[in-house]
Amino acid sequence: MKYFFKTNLLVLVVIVFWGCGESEPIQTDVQKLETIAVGPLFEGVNTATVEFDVQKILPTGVKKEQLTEVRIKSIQLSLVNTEAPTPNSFTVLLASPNTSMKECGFLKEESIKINNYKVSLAEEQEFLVEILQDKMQTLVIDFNLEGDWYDDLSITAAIDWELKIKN
Amino acid sequence: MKKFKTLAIFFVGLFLLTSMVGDSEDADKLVGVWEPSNKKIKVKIDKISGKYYGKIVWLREPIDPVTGKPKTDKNNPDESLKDVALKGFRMLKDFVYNGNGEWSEGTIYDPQNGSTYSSVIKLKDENTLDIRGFIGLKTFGRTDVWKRLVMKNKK
Repeated sequence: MKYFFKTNLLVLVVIVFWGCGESEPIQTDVQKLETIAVGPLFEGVNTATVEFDVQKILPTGVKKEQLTEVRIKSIQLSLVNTEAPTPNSFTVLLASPNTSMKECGFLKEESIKINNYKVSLAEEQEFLVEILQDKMQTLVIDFNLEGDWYDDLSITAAIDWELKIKN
Repeated sequence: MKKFKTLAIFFVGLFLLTSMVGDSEDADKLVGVWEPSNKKIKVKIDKISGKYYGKIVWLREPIDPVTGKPKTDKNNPDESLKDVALKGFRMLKDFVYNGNGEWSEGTIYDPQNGSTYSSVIKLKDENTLDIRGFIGLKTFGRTDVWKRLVMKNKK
């Protein structure tokens, strides 16, 4: 009985130490995604989307299922069609088939006016691990147009990820 | 006999295909612009990667009387998202079509108190929805009736 408790305690300690192992950061390039809103687009709220698989930017041998910590360091937006009316607000969201869609950040009108398209990021980002581990991801950009635009509109998002995996 | 078998397989395949197309058409009946019973907002529901989402596209009072600026999601529980524009905000998320005019597994966000509820949507007729928001059990919730915005020249 004495040995039984000792053995159980030892197993528990090993499990706890194994579970608390350090996650290790991995280096990836900035991911550039081109979202498209299919025109014609009318004044008001419109949406541009693109589906992607984060696996494509991970180093060889690393699988997205190994991700343990995910944060977005920055998102930089840029408008592809420069003649299109400039939207006065942007909201950036991420979704995947088996998770809930979440807001990742937004752009204020004041930033847009000074041509600063760096997204203000959400503090809460814990949901990102589950989204990136899913079979595919969807980037959604909602934007508010101040005029009509009789063509498609493309917005490029350059996402700088901070990723950690457990070996 | 072989000819009969081939014919039977062809008709079963055709039946399955047409029922799948019919299901997808029924699911997309949710797409459109809808107005809740309080008529304070209009919500456009669209389909993204197989699920249904609704964003606010019109507000009866778009300007915040305190700041004099466009209203933002000031009740968002995430402090860093309180300045997100309310016009464009996605208040319906992740609805999946179940068949029989019902979409479930989604959530509805109430910008007036910053709370998110589980939700099911039932299509009562082509232009009327019952949207139920609840916490935990479906029994403990509230249902609102939303009306589709129909173009005047549409027959």
